[in-house]
Amino acid sequence: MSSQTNTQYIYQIKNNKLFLWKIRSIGDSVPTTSGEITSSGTNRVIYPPEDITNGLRIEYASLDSLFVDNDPNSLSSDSSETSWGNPTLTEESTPSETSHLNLSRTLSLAMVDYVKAMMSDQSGDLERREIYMRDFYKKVGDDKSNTYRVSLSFPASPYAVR
Amino acid sequence: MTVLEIMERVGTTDTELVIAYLKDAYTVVQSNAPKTHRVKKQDITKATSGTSNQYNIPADMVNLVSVSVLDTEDDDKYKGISRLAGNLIVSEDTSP
Repeated sequence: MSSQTNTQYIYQIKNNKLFLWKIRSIGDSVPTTSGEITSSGTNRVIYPPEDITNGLRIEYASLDSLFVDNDPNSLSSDSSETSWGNPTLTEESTPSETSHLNLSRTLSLAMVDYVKAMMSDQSGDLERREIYMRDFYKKVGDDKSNTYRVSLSFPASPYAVR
Repeated sequence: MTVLEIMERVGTTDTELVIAYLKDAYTVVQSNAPKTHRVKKQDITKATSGTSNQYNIPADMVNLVSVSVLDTEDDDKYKGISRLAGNLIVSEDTSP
């Protein structure tokens, strides 16, 4: 039985461990076993006092599924606006030249820039390396912003030229 | 885009090296702007010792996106929890 977990639990990460605590609020009218009366609104943390099956959920980014067997950027079927399907992708654990990158077209082009940058680095051409790395980060940023549509509006200043 | 297409754009025939660089690049992407997320769940157990509030982080994690705890009183929803800022006074508990 757990309730309002978003306000009652906190975590901390040290090395490869996640430390989980529950917050216990202590009122000013409840004396402790030693007779101490705590000040109002004091919060203390305690170890998890309950069992919760599958209670801890960690969402994270990993390096899985980079190489797949099909092109992820084309529809497997596309007969009408309402009838279409995405391709079925299977991860390839031993990638080869025929493997597809499981990335958008923009990110795939960013990958090209990264490989070019590393090739330039290998040949000692650091200036060219920086140029390609700048293009790499620009494309990564473009890919991220492609999924956002943000509209900004600003009030006109009373002293603005009209 | 296939690995071969990338090799042609770069102008190299070294497949293994290109694949290694692609993995490196993907690490950078996942660190800065994660493209795909994974989810792992664990049982929370009532603490009985000084280390019972410690849980394993998935070894393949590159970037932590969120931590949630199941709320069984609210239709079994996972609710995001906050990270504790700063350090506690007790750094190690040998006799909880």
